[in-house]
Amino acid sequence: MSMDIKIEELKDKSLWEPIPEEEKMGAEELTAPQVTFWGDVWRRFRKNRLAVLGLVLLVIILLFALVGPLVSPYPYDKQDYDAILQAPNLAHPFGTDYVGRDLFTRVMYGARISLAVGFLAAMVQLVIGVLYGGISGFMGGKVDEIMMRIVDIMYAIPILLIVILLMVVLGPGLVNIFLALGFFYWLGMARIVRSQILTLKEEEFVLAARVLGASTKRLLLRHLIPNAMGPVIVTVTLNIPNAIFTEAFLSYIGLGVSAPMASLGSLASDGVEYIRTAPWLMLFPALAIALIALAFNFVGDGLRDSLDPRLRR
Amino acid sequence: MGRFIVRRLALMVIALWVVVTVTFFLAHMIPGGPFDREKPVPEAIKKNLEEKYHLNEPMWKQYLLYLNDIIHGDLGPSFKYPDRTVNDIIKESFPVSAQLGFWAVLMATFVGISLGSVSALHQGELIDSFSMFFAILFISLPSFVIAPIFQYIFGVKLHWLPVANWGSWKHMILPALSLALGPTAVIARLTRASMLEVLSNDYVKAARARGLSGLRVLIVYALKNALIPVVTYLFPLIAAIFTGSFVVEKIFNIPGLGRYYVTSIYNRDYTVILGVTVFYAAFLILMNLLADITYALLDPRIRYE
Repeated sequence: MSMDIKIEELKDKSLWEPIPEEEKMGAEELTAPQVTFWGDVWRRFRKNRLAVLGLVLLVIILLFALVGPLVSPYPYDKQDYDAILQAPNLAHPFGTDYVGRDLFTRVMYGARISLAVGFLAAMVQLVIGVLYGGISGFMGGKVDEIMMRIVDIMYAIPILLIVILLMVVLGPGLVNIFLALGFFYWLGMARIVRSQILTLKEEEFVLAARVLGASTKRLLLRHLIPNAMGPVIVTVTLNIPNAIFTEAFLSYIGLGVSAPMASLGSLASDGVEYIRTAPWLMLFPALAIALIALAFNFVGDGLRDSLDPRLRR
Repeated sequence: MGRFIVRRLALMVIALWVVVTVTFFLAHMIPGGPFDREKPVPEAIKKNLEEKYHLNEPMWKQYLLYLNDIIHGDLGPSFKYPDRTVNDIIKESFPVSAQLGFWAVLMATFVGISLGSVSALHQGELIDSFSMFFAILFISLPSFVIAPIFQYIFGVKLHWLPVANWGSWKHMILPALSLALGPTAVIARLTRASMLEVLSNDYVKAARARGLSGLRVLIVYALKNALIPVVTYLFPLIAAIFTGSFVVEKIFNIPGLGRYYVTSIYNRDYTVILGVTVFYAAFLILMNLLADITYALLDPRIRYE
């Protein structure tokens, strides 16, 4: 096409008239429908059968944990000495324990605690981990050096041991579990976000935003952190089972929630003593833990596969 | 490389010092003194006891004494069983844990690597989806869930293996298996992922094109490079298996350090809790250090600054 178009020619009004409807060449049909990044992720995620199964499982578990205890005919701590150690039946789908409490209700309560711990772990990672890593990576230099040394040292400390010790000192209880876990659960995330930010901040769109006069806060919150979100979400989902396991483990060794409250870990621990006579007491809480962890792992794996553009199939 | 190791070592020492300091001050936050019993100890005896354990000294002096003890490898006495020291307990029970851990690690690496390689070779086929499904299933089962289920199936129902206790090799199978399943699954997934990457390399394709059999290519050419991430996982794996043994030893009633640790938590035997925590922390931090160093040694792409 020749480039020497005269200015006069461009001034010809007829060139700028909108095309009449019937003359349009069906331009819409030539381009594929616009798909956003997250739309694309969702499309890939939906194709992954296990991931969808995980998502459905999660919704079901969430419903049972949140609504179940409200509609259950038995309170979680109601003892019934006429119904001790009943095997699973119609009235008690998971059976009853050694003081006649309905195990189904108690497992739903336990799932509530597990999910609350998972939620807390996610929040700690998303808020403290992302901000800490973001600031460290963004500032660079001395600040980064100092912030990362602190993380390195804390990372070298075996978390489980310190959490056990904290629980011994603070005493059992849900709030103390939250405190002990919250103190440590952001470390891995801080490292991941930092490395993401380090690469992202060299990108041209960041330079462009900077040239346009964006403030540091805006750069971090509007440009850098949202673009690092992919790995962040995958890490959060895959770390949630770890937090849930830790709580279950603490409750299992008697450092978790205190009776008559029930966590899946303490239920499983109580059930072990009855494994010969009433195996369901151990089996159902154990299955519940496994199911929750499985759901998160399925979703996390699916997210990782659908977020990774280098995915080879 | 030398500088890298020195840096890591320094980090390890600092981390250890942080652990020791935190444990010391946490221990002093525990309400009540160690000699507050239901039957009060006579004043004179209490004073003697406090003198023996330096409890009458100011806090900073106690801290320094504690540091000094730890540097000399003395983890202190047990308050519940005054005739035994924490060192005695560790000397007696750690070999049991180590033996159990050794078999679990061996099982996890061997089965994990084999499963992962087979899955990678048959990517997308039934055997691949099958083993990867089981891998994710076992990752989702904590060892304290697996252990009682094994006990129930193989001990109580089938009577194939002893339900609990320690003694012959038969007693070791179930606990080692309970400890190994999770790590086996992790290793299988790691091996599969890195194997797939290595198998797509040109030198592997060239070996195939020269007519070498699939198995030979796998073992001679691919495995060596594919195992780098697995080897670096080995030390965190040992750490994971040892912390996993806390509950597994308790469930199977095995006289290892993990069981003592959990029992001392039940009994609130504070000095044993502290001593064993410091011991485990040192052990796990050492594992971290070894992992970092092997990683740097094996993968030339890692910069040691």
